[in-house]
Amino acid sequence: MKDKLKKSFKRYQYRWVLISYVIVCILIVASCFQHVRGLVDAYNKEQAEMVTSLLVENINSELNNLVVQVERVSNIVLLNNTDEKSIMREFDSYKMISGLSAMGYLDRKNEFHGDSSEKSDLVKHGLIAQAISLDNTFITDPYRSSITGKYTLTIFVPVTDENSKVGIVYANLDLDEIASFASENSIDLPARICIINSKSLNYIACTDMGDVPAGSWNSLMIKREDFEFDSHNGYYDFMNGIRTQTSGNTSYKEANVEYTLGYSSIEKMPNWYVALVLENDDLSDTFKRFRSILYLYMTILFAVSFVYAVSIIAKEWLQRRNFQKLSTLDTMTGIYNKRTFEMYVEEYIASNKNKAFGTLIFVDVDDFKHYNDEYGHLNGDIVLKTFAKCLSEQFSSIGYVGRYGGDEFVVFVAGSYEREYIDGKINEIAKSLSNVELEGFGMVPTSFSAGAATCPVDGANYDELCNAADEALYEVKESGKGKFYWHR
Amino acid sequence: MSEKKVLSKKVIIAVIAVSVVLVASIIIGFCLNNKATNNAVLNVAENDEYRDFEPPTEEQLSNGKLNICLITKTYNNSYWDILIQGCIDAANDMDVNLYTAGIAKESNTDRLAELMEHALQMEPDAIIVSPADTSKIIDVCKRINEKDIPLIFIDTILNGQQFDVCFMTDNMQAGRMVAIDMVDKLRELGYTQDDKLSIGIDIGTKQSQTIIERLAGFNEYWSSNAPVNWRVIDTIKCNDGSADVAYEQCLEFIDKNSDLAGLIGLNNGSTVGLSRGLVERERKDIALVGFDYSNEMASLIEGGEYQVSTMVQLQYNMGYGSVTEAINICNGIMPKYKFNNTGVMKVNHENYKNPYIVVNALRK
Repeated sequence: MKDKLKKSFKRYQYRWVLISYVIVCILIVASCFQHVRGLVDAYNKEQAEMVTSLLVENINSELNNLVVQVERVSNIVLLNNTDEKSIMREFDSYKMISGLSAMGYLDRKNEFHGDSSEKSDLVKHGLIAQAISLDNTFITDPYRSSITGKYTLTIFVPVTDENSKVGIVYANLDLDEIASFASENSIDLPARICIINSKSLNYIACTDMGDVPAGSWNSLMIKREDFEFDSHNGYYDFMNGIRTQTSGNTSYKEANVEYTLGYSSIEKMPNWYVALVLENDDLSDTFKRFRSILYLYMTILFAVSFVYAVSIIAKEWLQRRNFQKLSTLDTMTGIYNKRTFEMYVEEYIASNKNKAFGTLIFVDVDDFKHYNDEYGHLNGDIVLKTFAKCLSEQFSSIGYVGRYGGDEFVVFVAGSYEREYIDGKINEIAKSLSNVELEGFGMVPTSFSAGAATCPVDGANYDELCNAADEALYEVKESGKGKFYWHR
Repeated sequence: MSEKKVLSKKVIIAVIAVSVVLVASIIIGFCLNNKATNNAVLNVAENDEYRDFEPPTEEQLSNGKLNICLITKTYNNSYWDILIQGCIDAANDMDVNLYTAGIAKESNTDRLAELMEHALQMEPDAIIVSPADTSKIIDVCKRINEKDIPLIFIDTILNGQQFDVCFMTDNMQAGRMVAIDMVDKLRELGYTQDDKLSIGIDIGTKQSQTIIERLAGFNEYWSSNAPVNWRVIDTIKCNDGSADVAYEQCLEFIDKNSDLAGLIGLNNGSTVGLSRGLVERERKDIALVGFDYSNEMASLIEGGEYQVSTMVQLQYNMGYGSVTEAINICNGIMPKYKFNNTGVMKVNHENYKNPYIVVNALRK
């Protein structure tokens, strides 16, 4: 078994080398890729944390600025006007430029001035009562407007003159306006924006958030199962963050994509945070570019190496085949040389043990020296090649044909064949070789003497068979050549 | 003698040949018949996936009435049967032609878009639809708008602005009502704000905006109003639409939480499963608030032994209101409100016999 393995390894050693080379190349590329990926991921995460924090603060600032503007406008309008029409006219003008969807007010007596449909919504959600009870500006929880069908926030601004309340202004802001703050900040990245309530863990999307369309609710209680945080307590750390800090960020993986979420508390909206989510990879295309170049480079390197390795192997294989040919075949005639012939016959006898049947035939070209002398060595070679070809045509399919030496050939017919069959073949050969065409001399008569011995009758091994066949051949020569005798 | 033999041989061969032909014909005929049957079965199966509009009758074409197309995102269940009945009753009451179509499964959104296209080609006076996957129908909605055909949504809203009016349940509000009711029930059971207890929530799917909004509404109210010691169990169980799974989950809630005092089912299937679980364990001390009026909930509510109540949607009003509003728009009366909350009614042991509840909520 070990010998077989060794032989197998030696025979296919180039293939193993090639396979090993390919595997090593792949391992190197993979580890290089992983290492670079790790570096870029860390860089992206750091960048993402910075960027999300910055952007979410900007969005929050925009919202706060809007609230401050509403406060200013409310104070200016209510304090400088008493007529409802002029107040509403001012509010309408401001609405057009500010992106608010509705504006109105409650007067000193808490009487409503504005669109009746808007009032209906505010009453339905208990917001007017809430506004009356509070003394400070506040933003309501999001609710669905009956007028537009969209989710809306309402900013309530109490306006006071010295110590008395002049009125309460309300201004409606559609939730998707918060998304527009992001575009105003020139975020050229596919950002997902939502607002999160830290008490209920509800969040509502201001932009499309993958599986949560804009204007839709979702709950962190449900989504937490889809999030993979860096650490075991990642989710709870995030929860603590949004319940105790005014701003922060966290990273998580969802569906194998790394995200960073930055959040910032909305000043006039208790327990609410504006949050912005970025995909880490979107922050830099460094890795994408590197990855493309790396793939291209490794592909070229791999292809070139592979082609080079294959060409070396092919060259060596061809060389080996040629050597093999040279060591087993007779160079002139192309049939087996004596050594190889002997080896094959011995292998055959050994492998068949007691059931080895065969016929060994010596074939000697009659008066070969005469051809060399008379017609030249080249024509002498032609005679030998012709004999080899003819013997090969007759016997190579049923045995082995070899050149024993000089002008002597040897044939081994493997198997038990009738003598008449072999006699027939010899006769065919004799007919074919009765004349051979030589260069410059045309057809020249030739003949041969042949002696045969059978295995196991005349000899159980190669040497015995050769001796027996040789004896038969000697008899042929003694009796006048040009014949074929079997060993007696 | 030999002639007779030859003749008999020929007769035998003829008989055999005829028999073979007959048998072959029967077999081939049988196979063809089967194939035809199979084709017929295939056609029927295909049509079970959706119902297309039936072509208008001659009477409908000539009666000069308004034509309204209704497309629903499911049919063949009691909820949608009632909704569609509301539409039909409104159409009959107001003397308009109503054409109905729908898909059998909410997931078949491509077909829904095709049905809307078909409706558009019919050039009706108004189209009422319950949108499933909104992204697939945005284009056809825009084209309906371009043709100035009033477009009304029922049961589900499209978050863009391609509709004229919507009739649906405000599920956030429904969720809040569930929370309010649970707080009340727990107080009735004798729990105080110092008592530590837990509440389990079971939902049918995480993909339904209806369920998510109910959960959001519940959380919104609960987080601001329920005592701090009354905690909602962190893990919300999802039964993927199976009441049997919800039943198992109920048993798990009960077995793993010794302080369990309440259970919430945010859709019909969840509620059914939870109710069965409660009965299995005979836990009359655990309050249950759910949705819809299944047989299981009816049994518990009417029995009066368990602390249960359920929120029932008013889908009949959705249907009736949508047709009424469609007609108004056709007559130039624009809707005051784009979003109309048809609401839910709470049904419990105290009010299930109330005629108003019976007629409006239970539709009996």
